[in-house]
Amino acid sequence: MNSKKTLIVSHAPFWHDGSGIPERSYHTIIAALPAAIVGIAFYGTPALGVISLAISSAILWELLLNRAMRQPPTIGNGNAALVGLLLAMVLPASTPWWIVLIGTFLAIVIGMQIFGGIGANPFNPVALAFAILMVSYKNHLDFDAGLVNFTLSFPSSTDPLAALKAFGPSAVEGLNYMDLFLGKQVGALGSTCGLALVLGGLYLILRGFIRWEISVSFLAGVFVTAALFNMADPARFAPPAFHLLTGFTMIGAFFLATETSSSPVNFVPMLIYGALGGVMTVLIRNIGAYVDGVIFAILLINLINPLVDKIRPKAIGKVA
Amino acid sequence: MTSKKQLLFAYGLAIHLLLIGIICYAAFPAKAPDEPIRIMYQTNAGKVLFDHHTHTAASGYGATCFDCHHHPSDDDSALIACGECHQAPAEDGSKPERCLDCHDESDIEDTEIVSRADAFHQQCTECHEQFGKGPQSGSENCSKCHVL
Repeated sequence: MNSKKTLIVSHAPFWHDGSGIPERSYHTIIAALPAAIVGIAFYGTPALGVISLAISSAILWELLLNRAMRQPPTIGNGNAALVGLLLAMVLPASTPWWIVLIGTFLAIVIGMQIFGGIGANPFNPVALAFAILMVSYKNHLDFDAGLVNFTLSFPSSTDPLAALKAFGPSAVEGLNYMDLFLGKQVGALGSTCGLALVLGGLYLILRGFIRWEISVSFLAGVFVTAALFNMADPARFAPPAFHLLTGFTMIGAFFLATETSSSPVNFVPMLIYGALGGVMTVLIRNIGAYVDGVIFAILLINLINPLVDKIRPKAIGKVA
Repeated sequence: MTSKKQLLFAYGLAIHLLLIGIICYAAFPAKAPDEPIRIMYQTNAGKVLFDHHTHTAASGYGATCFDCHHHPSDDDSALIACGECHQAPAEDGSKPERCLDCHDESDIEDTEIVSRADAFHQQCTECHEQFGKGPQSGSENCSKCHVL
């Protein structure tokens, strides 16, 4: 009688498949790895160095913060490793070690931990860290200047977006879209190979780790805005497919904009959020001051996230 | 909460990747090759990316070393960075160190060395005009090379 177990009532979820944040982080890492491996294949040991140092230092910064704040270590959930990997993938292979350390510090400490850690960050930590680095260390984060000592077997030895910005669409019209999609372009070490990023993104969508609404609306936003610009003046603005295949568009659509705590959860808000990101990206690229707009566009849509999340189904019932 | 196994995995990942990272940076430091591949010149009028390899390779424009590296003529000692000799005149009138490696200061005190900007403008535009290829001279063409 009175067995203690029979009378216990627990809260939802009553059924759990055992997966949690660690599974989510490590599956996202697995999805991102092909693009990172393509980067290592193109740029060799320096790229491996940046990736390794970024992942390890991100974990160590989080551990240090856990210790400093007298919390149990949270590094087991794999989120720090994921942030480190994604940050490495948007950096050039020539990044000096100290910029990698500063970058992971900015992402983990400034981007996440001071807001309360995973799930509490209002901005994507990778985008935030990269934006600060890009403004602070312009020359080191310039793909053309950084990669001068690399022998590249790409059709063009300049960053296509930088060439577009400086010399107009005529400077990049000779580029083959298939080459761009396969990653044969100057850029960050893990964000140029569209094929690998799309495959990774599809895997995450099919497994349910990210929402297709954000990725698809982001890409659609880029495509439609770039197409409108291109139709208005083809001599000044590049065709939409070029914008889809260059810079951070793919990694932004599948890995950065979809970050959980800084993106909305309902259907319509997700569409608005993603599409606005795509529109902002092309606006910054075409008429803004920066070569690539994805990072700032993602920070901007992170800002509107709480606002668009107000668009939600009405709760059933009423308060008496 | 994460399990002990997951925590141990994260520790292992951090330590191993830290070692790999340090080895990559320490054993394969980024160093400039003897013959430059591309050179990014930071100038007051914006940066200029010069593709050294494409200009010199047989599959590119096939320029020989001594088409540009002119002093001393046809000698390997001329294969140095342009800016080593072409510098803005020093305030105290001293000559660039590289010149003093071979010349006495008194030998070259009357020699005027054109600044790096003038040397480049002469060299680049002359060749581009001769072949009628690439950016041409003219005040409206600055942004064909210089990127702000």
